[in-house]
Amino acid sequence: MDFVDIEAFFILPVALIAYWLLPRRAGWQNAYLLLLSWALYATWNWRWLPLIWVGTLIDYWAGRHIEAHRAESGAGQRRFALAVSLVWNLGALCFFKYANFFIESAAELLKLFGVDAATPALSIVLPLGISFYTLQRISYVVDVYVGRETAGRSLLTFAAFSSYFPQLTAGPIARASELLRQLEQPRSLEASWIARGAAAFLLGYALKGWIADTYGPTLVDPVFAAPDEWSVLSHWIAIVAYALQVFGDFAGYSLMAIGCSRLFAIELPPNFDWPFLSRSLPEFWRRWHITLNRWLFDYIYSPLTTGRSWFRGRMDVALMITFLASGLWHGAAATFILWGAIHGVGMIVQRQWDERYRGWCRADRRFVQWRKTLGYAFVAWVLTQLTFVLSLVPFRSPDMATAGHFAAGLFASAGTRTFDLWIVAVANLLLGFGFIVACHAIATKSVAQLWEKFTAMPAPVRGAAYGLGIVYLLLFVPLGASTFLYQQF
Amino acid sequence: MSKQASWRSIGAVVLAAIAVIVAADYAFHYVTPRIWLRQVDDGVRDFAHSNPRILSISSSHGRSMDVVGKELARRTGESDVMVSVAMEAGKATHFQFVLDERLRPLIEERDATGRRVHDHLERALLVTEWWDSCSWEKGRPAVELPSHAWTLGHFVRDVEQQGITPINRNYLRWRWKRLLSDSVLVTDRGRGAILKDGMAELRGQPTGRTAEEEKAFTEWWLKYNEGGKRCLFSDDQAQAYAHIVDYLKSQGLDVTIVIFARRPGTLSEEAIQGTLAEYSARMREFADEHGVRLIDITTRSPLGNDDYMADYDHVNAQGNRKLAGWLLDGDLAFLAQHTTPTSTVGMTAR
Repeated sequence: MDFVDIEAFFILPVALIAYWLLPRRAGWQNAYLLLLSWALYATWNWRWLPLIWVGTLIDYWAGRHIEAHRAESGAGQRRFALAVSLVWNLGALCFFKYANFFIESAAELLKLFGVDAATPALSIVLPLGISFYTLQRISYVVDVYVGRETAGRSLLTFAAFSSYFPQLTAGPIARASELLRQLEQPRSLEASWIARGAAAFLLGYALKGWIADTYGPTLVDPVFAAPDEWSVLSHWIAIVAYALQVFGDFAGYSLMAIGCSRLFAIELPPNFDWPFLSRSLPEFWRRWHITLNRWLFDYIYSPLTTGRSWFRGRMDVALMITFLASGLWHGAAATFILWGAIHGVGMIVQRQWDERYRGWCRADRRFVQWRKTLGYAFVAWVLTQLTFVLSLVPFRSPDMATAGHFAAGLFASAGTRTFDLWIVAVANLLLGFGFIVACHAIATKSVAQLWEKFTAMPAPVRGAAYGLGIVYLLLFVPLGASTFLYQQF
Repeated sequence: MSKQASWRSIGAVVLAAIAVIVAADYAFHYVTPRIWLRQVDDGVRDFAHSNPRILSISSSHGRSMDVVGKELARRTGESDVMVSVAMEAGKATHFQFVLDERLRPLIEERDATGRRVHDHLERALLVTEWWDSCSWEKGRPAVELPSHAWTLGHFVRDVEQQGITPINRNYLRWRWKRLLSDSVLVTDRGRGAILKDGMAELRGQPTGRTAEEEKAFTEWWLKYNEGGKRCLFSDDQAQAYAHIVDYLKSQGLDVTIVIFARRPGTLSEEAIQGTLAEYSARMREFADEHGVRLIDITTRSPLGNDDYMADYDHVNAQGNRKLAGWLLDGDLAFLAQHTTPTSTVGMTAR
C-alpha cells in the first residue's frame, strides 16, 4: 500500500479503528498487525509472501539458537546459526537484486577477452521491500550474535517485527531495540500518539505528494529524457530539482511511515534530519537516510576497521567499501556504483582534510577561529551540497551514456530548450522550494522558536492553518503520480 | 500540533481544519461549478430500473444522446423511451466490455415466468467516432475502464490476479470521487479545473487560455484529427465493433450506428478528406456488411464552434438542445416509431 494513494484513505482508518477496538494485549495487537501487514503486502503480490515467511522463521530460529548457546562452548553453534541466517538473507538479496547484473557483467568481461557468451536473461521480479526487510533482520541476528540484543521469545512478535507494514517496503530500517522491544509491550491509545502521528503523516504527504511529485515530472524527467536538447541553466535547474525530488520522495515516505506507525502507538526511528543543512559529507550522511547509513557503518565499516582483518585501521579503504556497498544496495547498475564511489572519495577527502586541519589547528590556533567563521561554514556548505547534487547525475541517469551527456550539459550544451511553464506552476514550484527551505530553517535553533509559537496557538487557529494546507495540497498534489523512488531499491 | 495534546485539542484542531476545508470547497463552487457527468454506472442503473425501447452505447460524446432521449420522451409522451450508456474515453473494445459485462445480463434478464424483463427494448444506437476505432498507443493503460465501467467484482478479481496496480487503483479512486461527488475539491483532483477556471476569471476569458494558448490548442486539435487516419480500425477495435453489432442483432434489436459530430474548428480539409472520409467509408462498408443503418453527422450537423465545451471535444448544453431537435426532426426521426421487421441493409444516411 502506498501511503499517498487512494487505498490508504480507505484502508487506514478502518485498520486503525479495528486495532484500537482490540484488547490491549501485545499478543492480540501483534497478531492483528501481522495479518494486516501480510494482507497489505499481498495486495502488491501475494506470491512473494513465502519469501518473508521463510526468512522470518530462519531468523527467529537463528536468534533463539544463538541465545540457547550463549555459553562459551556454544561458539560453533552460534557461528552456524549466524551463517545460516546470512546465507539465506544475503543469498535471497543477491539473487533477486543482483543475479542479472552479475550475469551481464560477466558476459561483458568475457567479451573483452573475445568470448561471446550467450547470457540467459532471467526475468526476476524484485520482491517489494526486500532491500529493507533483509537488512533489518540481518541487524537483529548480528546484534543477538554479538550480544547487543537478546533474542525475541515470541515467534508472533518477531514475525510482526519482520513484517510491520508501515516500514516493510521502504524503511526506516529499525533495530530490534527500537521496534521489537516496543512490540513486546501492549500499546495504549493516547492523544499524543494520534496528534504526533497525524502531524508527521501530513508533513510527509506534503513532501512526497507536493514536492516530489511536482518537481519530478515538471523539472527533472524532461531534461533527463533528452539532455542534449536543453540549455546549461536547465541542466542545473533539473539536477537541483532532482535533489529536492528525491529528498521529498524519501523523507516524505519516511515521515508518512513514522506518522502511520504512531497512529498504532509504535515509534519508528527517524530517517531524515533536514540534510540540506549539512556542512560536511559525514554530517550529511548522518542526516540522510539515517537508518541505512548507520546500518552500513555498524555492520560493514565498524567491523572492517575494528576487526582483526587486514582492514583494521584502514579507514579510507573501509569508507570506500562502505559507500560502494551503499551504491550497490541502491541498484545493480554501474551508475549506482559510480554514485557510491563519488561519495566514497568524498568521505575520504573529507577525512583527510579534517585530519590535516586538526594538525594546522594544533600548530596555529587561528585555524580554530577560522573554522568558526561564516565564510568557512558557507564554503563548507556549498562544497558539501554541490558534491551531493552532482553525485545525483549518475544516480538519476538510466545508464552511463546519459549520465555523461547530462554531466557535460551542466557545463556546455548545444541545446537551447528552457522550461516554459504556466505561471501558476511556476508559483507552485517556488512555493514548494520555500516550503523545503522553511522546514530546514525550523530545524535550526534560531527559527525553531517561530514553530514553537505556532504550536502554542489556540487549537482552532492551528486547525485552520492545517485546513488551509490540506486545501492547497488537494489543489496542487498531482493525481496518480505516487511511485516511490525508494521502493525500487 | 502542541506537545501536550489532549483529545479535546485534537478535536478542536480537526473541527477547525474540516470547517476551513468545507468553506473553501463551497467557495470553489463559485469558481468551478460542479458538473455531473453521466457515466456507465448511471446508464446501467437507469437501464436496470426501466424498460426503454432504445439503448444507446457510446463514448463520452454520446452523453448528448441523453438529451436526445429526453426530447424524444417529450415528443412521444413515453416516460423512459431511451437510456444512454456513455463510456468515458471509450474505445470499441471498451464498449464491448460494457456490453458484455454490464448490459448483457440486463438485456437477457428474465422474470419468474421466463419473460424478458426489458421486453420493450427494440432498438440500439452505437454512437461512435474515428477515435473509438484506434487502439491505445502501445503500453498506454486504459485507466478509464476500471474507473468508469468496473464493478466491485471486477476490481476484486483483478486484484486477486495482479495485486494492486496503477490500473485497478483507478477503480478505488473513482469510487472515492463518487462518494464525495458534492465536493469540488475532490472531483477536481486530476482535472485542475479550479486552477484553470480561476485563471480564466482573472484573465476574463471563458476558456482560461491566452490567445497564444488558444492557438496552440486549436493546432493540436487540427493535427490530432489529421493524424487519425494512421490508426483507424485496428484489428481489436474492428473485432469489437463486429461483436457488439452481432450481439445486438442476435437479440432482435434494430441497430443504428451514428458517427458523431465534431467541432468544425478542429477539422482541417486534410482531416475531412483523410481521417473522417476514410472512417466514414470503412464504417459504411461495415454497416452494409452487418446489415445495420449508418448515420454520419460528423461534418453536417448544425453545431457551430460555440456549441462545444472548452475542451473542443464535447457538446455543451446549448449544443445538445440544438442537436437533439435537429436529429429527431431528421436522421433519427424514425426513433419515434416502433420497429417493423424490415431489412435495414443499405439504409445509410450520408
